[in-house]
Amino acid sequence: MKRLLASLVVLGMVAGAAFAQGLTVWTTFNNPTLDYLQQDVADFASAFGVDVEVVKLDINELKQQMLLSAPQGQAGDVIVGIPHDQMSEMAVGGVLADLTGAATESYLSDLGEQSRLAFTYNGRLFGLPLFVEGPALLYNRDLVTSIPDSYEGFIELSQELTTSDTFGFLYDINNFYFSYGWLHTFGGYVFGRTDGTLDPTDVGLANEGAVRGGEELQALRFEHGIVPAGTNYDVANGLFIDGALAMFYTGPWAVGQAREAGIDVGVAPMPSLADGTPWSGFMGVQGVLVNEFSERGTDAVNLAKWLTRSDSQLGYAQLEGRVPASQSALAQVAEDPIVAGFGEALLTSEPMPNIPEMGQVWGPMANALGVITESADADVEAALEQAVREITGE
Amino acid sequence: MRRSDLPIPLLLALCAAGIWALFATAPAAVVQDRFLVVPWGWTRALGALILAIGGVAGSAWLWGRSRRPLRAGRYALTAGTHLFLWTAIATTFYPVIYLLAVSFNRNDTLAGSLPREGPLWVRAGILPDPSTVSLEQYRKVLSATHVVPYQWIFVAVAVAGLLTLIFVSMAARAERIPGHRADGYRRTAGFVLFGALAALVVSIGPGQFYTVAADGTRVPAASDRTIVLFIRNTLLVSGMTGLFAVAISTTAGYAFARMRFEGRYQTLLTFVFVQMFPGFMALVAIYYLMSYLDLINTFTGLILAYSGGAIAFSAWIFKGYLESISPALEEAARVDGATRWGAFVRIILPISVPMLLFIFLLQFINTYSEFILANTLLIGQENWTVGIGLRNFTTGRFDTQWGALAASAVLGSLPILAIFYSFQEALTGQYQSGGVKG
Amino acid sequence: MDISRPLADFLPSRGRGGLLLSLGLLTLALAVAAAGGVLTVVVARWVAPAAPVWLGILGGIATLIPTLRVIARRYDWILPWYYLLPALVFLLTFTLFPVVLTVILAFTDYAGIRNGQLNVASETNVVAVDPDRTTIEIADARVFDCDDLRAGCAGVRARVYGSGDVDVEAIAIDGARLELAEPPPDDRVVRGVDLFLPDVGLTFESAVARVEGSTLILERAPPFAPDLGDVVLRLERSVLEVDILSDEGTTVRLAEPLPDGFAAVSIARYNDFGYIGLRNFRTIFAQASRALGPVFVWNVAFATITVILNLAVGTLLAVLLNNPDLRFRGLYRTLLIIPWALPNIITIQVWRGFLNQNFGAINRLAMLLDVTPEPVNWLLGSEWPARGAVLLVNLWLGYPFMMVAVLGALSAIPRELYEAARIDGATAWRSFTDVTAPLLRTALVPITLTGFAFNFNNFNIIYLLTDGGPAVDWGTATARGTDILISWAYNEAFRSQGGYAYGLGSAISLLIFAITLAVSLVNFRVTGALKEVSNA
Repeated sequence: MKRLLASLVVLGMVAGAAFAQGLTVWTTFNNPTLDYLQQDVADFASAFGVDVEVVKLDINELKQQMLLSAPQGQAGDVIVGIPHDQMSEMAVGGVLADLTGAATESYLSDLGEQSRLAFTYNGRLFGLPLFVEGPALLYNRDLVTSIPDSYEGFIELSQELTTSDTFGFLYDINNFYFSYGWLHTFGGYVFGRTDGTLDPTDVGLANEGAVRGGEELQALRFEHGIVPAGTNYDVANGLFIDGALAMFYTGPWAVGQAREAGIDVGVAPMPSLADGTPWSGFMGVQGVLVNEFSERGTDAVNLAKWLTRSDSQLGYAQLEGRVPASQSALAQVAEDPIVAGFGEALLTSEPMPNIPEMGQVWGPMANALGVITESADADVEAALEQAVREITGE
Repeated sequence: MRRSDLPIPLLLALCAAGIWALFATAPAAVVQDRFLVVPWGWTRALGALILAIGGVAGSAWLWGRSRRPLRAGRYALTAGTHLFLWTAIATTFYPVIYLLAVSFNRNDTLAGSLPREGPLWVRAGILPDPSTVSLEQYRKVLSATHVVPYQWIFVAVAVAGLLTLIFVSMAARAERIPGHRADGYRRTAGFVLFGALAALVVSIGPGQFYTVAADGTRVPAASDRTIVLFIRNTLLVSGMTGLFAVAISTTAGYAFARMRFEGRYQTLLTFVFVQMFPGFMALVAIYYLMSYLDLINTFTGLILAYSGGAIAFSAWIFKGYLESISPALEEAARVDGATRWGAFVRIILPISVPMLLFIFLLQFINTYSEFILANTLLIGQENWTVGIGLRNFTTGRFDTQWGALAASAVLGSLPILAIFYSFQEALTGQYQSGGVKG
Repeated sequence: MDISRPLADFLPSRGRGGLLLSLGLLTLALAVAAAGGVLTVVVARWVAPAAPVWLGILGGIATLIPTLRVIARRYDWILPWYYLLPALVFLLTFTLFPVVLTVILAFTDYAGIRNGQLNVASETNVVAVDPDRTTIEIADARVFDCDDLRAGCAGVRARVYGSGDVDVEAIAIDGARLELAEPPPDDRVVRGVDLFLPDVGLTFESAVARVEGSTLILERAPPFAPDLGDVVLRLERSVLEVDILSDEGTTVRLAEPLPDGFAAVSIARYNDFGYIGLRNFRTIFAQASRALGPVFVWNVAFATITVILNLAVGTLLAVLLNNPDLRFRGLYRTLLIIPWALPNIITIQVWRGFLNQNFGAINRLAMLLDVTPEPVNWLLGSEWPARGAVLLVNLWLGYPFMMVAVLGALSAIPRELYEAARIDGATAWRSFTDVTAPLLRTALVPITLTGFAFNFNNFNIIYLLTDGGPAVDWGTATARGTDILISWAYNEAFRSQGGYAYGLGSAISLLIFAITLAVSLVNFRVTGALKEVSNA
């Protein structure tokens, strides 16, 4: 028995992962962005003489693992690639370092206003923006020559292109991140602003505009017959890559795979409504955060600043068409049609609210969207009101 | 051929003709909303099934009647049983075959549009198009695995052991070698395989999984290329948990089975009821316990976290097993002067080896499929188990690479399949001998 | 059939100890071992400060063995407990202790944003300090508020900061030696120095190894040449931990006055969590009609139906395979147990792909055979197809276990009984109903109970196949169409839409435990399994 335990312990020492001395970067990136990050990190390591290890995590678990393990000193020192709406729960939980003093004036003034605000909570900067992303209309140039000017024209085009072989327009309809475009453009909003700050008690996801948007979503499926039942991201993506889908409402991450499959990809903003209202969906800012409990805080902050300098941001733009947060980097890639297309779409988008209450919005809204798109008779208003009740916590 | 044999081929021919007619006269498949539909197809399928069953059963009955008139019904029943079992096997295996087909396919997504050419079952999407068969997915999934030279020896030994096992099993079934000899060979081959695998599992490390960048530097591989690492992690954790469960629960089971002491009943109840708590709901508590012991993100911590539930259940099973063994053996040993502990080690343990193996395998298989606790306690990608790695295909990203997922799933299932089937006798045999009582 | 019973007790009855005495002695031994373990860690940390805590386990074990020997010499009837000791220790540490902790958590409001850490985002500047130094005015009341704490700001700890950074002038830099115009203030600790590197265009903070007069020795030489006109000295902020008495708008009252001479610059509060009594349970029962009720009903229905289904199919196959004259019997059994052999985390995810409405193989097969007019929306539509899908996949996963168990039970029935029945003229059906079924029943009871208990908390299938199932208009975001109690609890505690409410999740799992316990008690009473244990 003793021998067994001893050998077990030894095995544990051998098999258990020991934390590297140096910095640990937690990231949620996938290839090829991950490769680029590794390269950037290696440059920092050789320039500053600090060992850095990159560890990849599951994006759905990141927030929870930070909240649980950071106070025990077991979390990564720097976190790369997290959308800004996830930041505030971690900030309130006390696991993020305050970077207000770390960002220089020149860096801050180079950022777009939205990017800077995205990572500002309670007047403090908790992250350094890396790039901006949001959904826009990806289209297959072989099937579609130009996007119509109005939303109604767009619907007509989608119906025309929906044949037995191809689909005209698809997207992940039950995902609130995408469907918010409909709810917002027709008049809904997530959290209202009082005196310029977001008010978690003012939820506008069940107002008239949102209900109209919800009805539009229902119409997409049942009245216009464009987005059939069973459509999720996988399905739409698969068809787009196959060349069987004309238009796809998604973000920049889809471009790489489509291009690899030989599709001639074009990007444009969703067309405005007939009355001139511009299309407005979500905008997410991906950035770099620093762990408050990091034992090498100085080096961690330096690494964060290194990873977000405009040269790095340029690299992400050239790699996958991400819109850099730095204006100077953006100016350098403005000719890239992919970047230009997304950039144009982002001009009118609304950044995701970055208050902790935002974390409680996704689930109920996904629920509501599921109910709304399930049948043509589903009560849109009731579904949205139930979601709002759950968000505000009644 | 006897005259009474004539009806059998006639019956079979008639049934075959009937089935052929059913399918040949079927209307052309219609495309309806991106599905291929044969109108009233199920009637034809059902008809074919009935004809098949009728034909086989009827022939068997006729054959029986000509040989042993009284047992004709028995023959029909047997034939029907075989057919039913094969249908059950086909139904059970359909997902497995589909998975294999997807993994050997060049295309990467499950959601492609239906092929235009090919036989009906390809055009309907029942099975992937065989013309696109390739090893592409496996190549992709294994491309980042770099095996250090000395590990090839272990691989060779493991493969040799596996081949021996398969060969001996087949030879034994064909009755080329006597049964007990076959068992001996199988046992040795099994141990060799187990040893080689254990050596491999302990020696493989995360540093072997990388891709080489353009400038020659090694870049750690992304999570969809490191299934072998995940398999190694899972084998390590499951194996250690199994060993742990065996080591700790045998003495407890022995105490419950053989000894009478105050508080036996209460302790037994505690064992039973404590294991009913859904273990992972104490996730936060377990997390803090592990972080206090500095065991976060280590396999040791995960194994210890599994141990509580594993021990209670295993002790209960072992107790049941011991109660079915006569205590006369130990009595004899004690009469010869052995101590209680000596009797336990020298008499009980050797004869319970099948049950110990069973407990080990049960815990191994259970922990192989566990992932909530592993997901929380193991943080970095280099520590992921198979379940977490596979789930990351579908939830960690927007685009699911189904081909790579299927290939990884097949590879991830191989170890447990091999273990399950090698020790099939041990696993299922325990139930046969009535060794498991409530 | 426990033939060991009358011969069972080998132990000479030399002073049999009571349960309490045994437990007391064991506790004593464990306490001594714990002391030994703690001592080991203290000594190890004294020798090597980075020694891990689990060395204490080794030390504890080393202390335990001799202690046990000593006790056994005096009370030799305690030996059976020694056999139980390893199992007991592991059970106590890794199962019981977390359970106790979870019980405690269930009565608190512990959550992701109420985790006892300092809320860095609540830091706000101190505008003024009253002469009595217990009341301070803060800049932003909204940032500092304690609305999400259970009792407002009363009794919450806070941290008051002194001043931080100061601009300095640097004269020269030589490798890692930075010379300043003036020495830094000597009553403050220098944390680091911010140097602007024009080549990269960013400011980098360098840690300071030591200070020599007005020269700072940096930890590392900066990789690029710094701009000496733009240097910021970062001093360690002085920190004071205080308790808040009350908080109204921008006025914060502290429990104790701030020390004289302490210049308060800003204040931040902690995320306090604590005892809230039965509030979690009240929340659970308040939305019982939406969450607890429907989920519980489905949970019980699911467990019952799936066990019956699996048992039926398993028994059918086992009866067919039990025929020793059946050729290829072994082959059939080997093939039919494959759903059990394959890891369910893999197969369930594969099934989820199969059940996709427009592209899954199941619907493609169904449409080909024209079984349904429209493709069935298994997973994303109404909750009934989803529940059906769950039961179907669980059948695929679970029938091999039942088949093997029933085969085992059948093989325990002596063949002589069948011979006797045949001689008495029984048909196959009669021998099944009169010989097989009754003997099978007693053996099947533990199998059924195990199956029920397992499936009552079968998290894997729900999470991996439907993740709680389709959205329903009668449920909530955390309790949806196919959610069972345990997945509902998981959603509340570990999902964003539950707000990482660990306290609430713990309360629900307590409820689950209570229900499972009650169900098991009823089952044990009905089957008399415990009676067998107590008599055995």
